[in-house]
Amino acid sequence: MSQLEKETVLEVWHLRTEFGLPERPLVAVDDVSFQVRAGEILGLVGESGSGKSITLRSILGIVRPRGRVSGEILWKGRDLVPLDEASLRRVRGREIAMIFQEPMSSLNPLLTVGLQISENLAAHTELDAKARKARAIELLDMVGIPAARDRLGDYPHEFSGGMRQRVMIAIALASNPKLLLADEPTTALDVTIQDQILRLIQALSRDLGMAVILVTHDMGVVAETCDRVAVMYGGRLCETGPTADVIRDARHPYSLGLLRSIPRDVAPRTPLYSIPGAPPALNALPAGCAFTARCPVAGPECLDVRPSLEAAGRQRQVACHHREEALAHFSAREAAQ
Amino acid sequence: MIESTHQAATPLLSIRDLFMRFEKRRSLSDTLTGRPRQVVSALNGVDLDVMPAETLGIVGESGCGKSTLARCIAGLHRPTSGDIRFEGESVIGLKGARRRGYNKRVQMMFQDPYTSLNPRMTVRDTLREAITVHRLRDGAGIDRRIDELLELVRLPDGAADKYPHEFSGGQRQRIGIARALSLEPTCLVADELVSALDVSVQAQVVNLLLELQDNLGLTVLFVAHDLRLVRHVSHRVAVIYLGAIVEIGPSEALFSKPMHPYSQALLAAAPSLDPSERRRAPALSGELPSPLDIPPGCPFHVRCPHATELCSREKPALRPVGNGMTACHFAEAIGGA
Repeated sequence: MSQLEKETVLEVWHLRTEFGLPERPLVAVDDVSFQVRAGEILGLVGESGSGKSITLRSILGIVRPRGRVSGEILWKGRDLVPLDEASLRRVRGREIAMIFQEPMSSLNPLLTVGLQISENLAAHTELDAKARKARAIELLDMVGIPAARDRLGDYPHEFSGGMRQRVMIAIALASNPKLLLADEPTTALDVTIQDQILRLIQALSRDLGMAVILVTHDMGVVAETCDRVAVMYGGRLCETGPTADVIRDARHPYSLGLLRSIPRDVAPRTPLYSIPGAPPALNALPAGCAFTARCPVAGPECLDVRPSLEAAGRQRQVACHHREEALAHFSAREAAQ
Repeated sequence: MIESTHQAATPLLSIRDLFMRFEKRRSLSDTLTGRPRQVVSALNGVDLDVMPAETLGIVGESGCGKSTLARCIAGLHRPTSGDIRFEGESVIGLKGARRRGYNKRVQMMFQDPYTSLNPRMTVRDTLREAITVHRLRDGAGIDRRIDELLELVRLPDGAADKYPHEFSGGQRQRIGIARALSLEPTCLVADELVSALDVSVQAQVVNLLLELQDNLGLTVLFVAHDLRLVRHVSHRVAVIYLGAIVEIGPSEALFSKPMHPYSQALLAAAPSLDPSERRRAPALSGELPSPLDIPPGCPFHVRCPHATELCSREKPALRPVGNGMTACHFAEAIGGA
């Protein structure tokens, strides 16, 4: 539990990001609060449309100007929300770096990877051209690209998908960021390559003391990589806690259902637990709990009264009006099998 | 139990020595310099028997040829050489009525629910087209059959007269299943049927597929990269590497005790939901070699931790090992360890 002593680098309080007309806003992220400590990997897990990527982008202010961000994003005590573009740019890429899902479309196809790395070095460090080249080789080497020196002059299309993601990570690391935002960095990759990239992110976080927020839809990725996890649904957090605890003993009906719909320790070819219905659209979110329509234990108040994220055991938080009923519902189901 | 009946039965589909090569177009500079045409070897001698009413899972990394195999079976590609027999009769080069007869009995379902349905046709039009082309019903019988099919895949009332964009991803995959079932097929080829869907919706579609298969006695080829899901739905599983089967066997046996070093690495790389199983080192280093230039000998030897000089020289044949078949010179020693 050395994590407890590490300093908190990022605090997000009541983050709200909305799009569209101010009178009829589409709220993509609603009242989301979480903290990240140095050297910690936080998993932000949810389905498509749950607001996990928008949360990440809101931190760096790259949803603006079309998205309206409110709340507090305290980076080392300083609020990023009111900053203008020029001041944000000094934080972006230098202290907080980001990697994306599609390494091919995030790299410039017309520039060599060496140039793309030294571009970032020139923007964020004082190194001269020669030192930048040496540092670029060092970075490519660090992210596990073989024969790094010979590959500086190669273009993105000459790399495979996994190697491109490594190049992306090398560019992100160029400025020695203290926080890495990773938006589904392995979703486009095969399991064997995904495994390599996740182990790399883990090692970098451990060795460089870098905090990481990893956005993913895959509970397995969270289980294998993250120290803590925050589960999102309909733009809100429904459960947070240490990864092992949440996976072993989830409390929110959505995380309970999600974990049970993944086949493990069940007889082959038996029906899997399935959450009925589909995730809600942004313009059809209820005033209360976003999961109400699909929840097996929802009561009449759930539709109107928003459950707040409340402490539920050590370092854990759950947002649900019917915690006991949810646990009872799922354990009764399990006993019946 | 299912295994013993399979031994006695004759296979529904019997694939022998299947090769599929795609020739790349020569660029002008290639022609001028007299370089030979490049050939992508997608399938390199696949031998496979599919038993009636079984689910055969096909797994492998992207680019290994699993979709090419599915497409060859569904008649969407004409293989370069080799034979595919359906109920004892070769289906390569079938024409006219006999081609249509085979197409009717082997139906394919596609990965992307957004591009595999015609956006300008209502669900009724899509299903009616299939039914009338094969003259399965006429007059009022067609509409009765459409209602029957939609009930079978549990789409809501009134779905027939809607367009694809009015449905969610999960519902669209149900339309794809209904379209395949409209021809009363014997065999379904499911190419990544649920990989485009959210986790909470995947279970619904998988449950539907399992139920339909049991009720209608269908044979299913389940091509997917999600190993947990493949393990859950399949009776037998084939692992493909660079266009050849490296291991095939009963699902539980293969997943609990893989014999081929590639199957072992693939299973180890898949993210486990148990955080205590975390590893620091990746399960498999290196990447899939290009199918333009397949290594001689065992195609896996360049990445295999157990490879010897024999492996780079001689291609191992698929032979009985344990409960299944494995193509590795040292399967007994490696699988037993």
